[in-house]
Amino acid sequence: MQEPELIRRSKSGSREAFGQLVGRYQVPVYRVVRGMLGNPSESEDVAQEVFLKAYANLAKFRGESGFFTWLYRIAVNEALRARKRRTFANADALPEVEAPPPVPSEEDAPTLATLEKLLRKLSDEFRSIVVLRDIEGLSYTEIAETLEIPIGTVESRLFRARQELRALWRQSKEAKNAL
Amino acid sequence: MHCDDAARALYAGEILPDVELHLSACDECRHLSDDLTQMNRAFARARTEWVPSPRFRVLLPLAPWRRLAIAASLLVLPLAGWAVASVWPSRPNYDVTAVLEPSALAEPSDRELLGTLFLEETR
Repeated sequence: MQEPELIRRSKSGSREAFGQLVGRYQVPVYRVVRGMLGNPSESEDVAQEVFLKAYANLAKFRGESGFFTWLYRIAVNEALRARKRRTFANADALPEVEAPPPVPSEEDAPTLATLEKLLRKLSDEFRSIVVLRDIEGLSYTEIAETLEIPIGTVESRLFRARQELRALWRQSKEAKNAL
Repeated sequence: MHCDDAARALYAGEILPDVELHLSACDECRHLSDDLTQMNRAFARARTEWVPSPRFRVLLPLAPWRRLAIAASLLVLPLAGWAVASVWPSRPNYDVTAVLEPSALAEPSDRELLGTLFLEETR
């Protein structure tokens, strides 16, 4: 079934239709949240909240933007809210990530654990734009729709975010080499 | 091409012939290009490996009419039980003495007791 039809049916109360939309988007939504939060199990909880929120607010989706950009917007906002909650609850005391064993990398690329650490060091604005562009592969227009910012801002913010990410990575590599 | 322009193009992911030419002559920009390539590999790995666990299921809330139906059944069941219990004929209260023979209840006389003893002794 085509997506507009699934959306229409979901709006008229079909749980089955919405279930199909969930099936299509649960992995990308999880990935966005994971990129924003860095914690696998917390990311699943937040992804669940994203879909519940989308389900509850489906009537407000007017189709002016793509369904997935609307869903990503909810995902980014829920992830940011979860981060705030975590900061508020002083979750720094909690274990950061279930760090996977470092995968030996022939190309010297950052491991996923390193990538998560680097992303965590970025500001919320930078992290969300890097996740949407570099991990999810959204176009500038789609990012602009998702984050509700002008395309010019997307370009400049992405440039600065990548600059900072690269600088952080160089620092991390130098620190590693110094050991 | 100036390093700033090359860096801008590299950060934007644009691979232009001018940039290629610049990279062949500039160590700093080549380092930048290598770093970005490696970061892109990490992003690509994240795309394939960041997936929810197999047990992950999105649980949607029940439709309002279903919730009402469940609430109603929770209310109706005890009421129905109570109604049935009140209508059901209660168990008769048996009077044991009325059922048993009067002689079985009467205490044995001295004669009967002596007779029993006599019989046991002679056995």
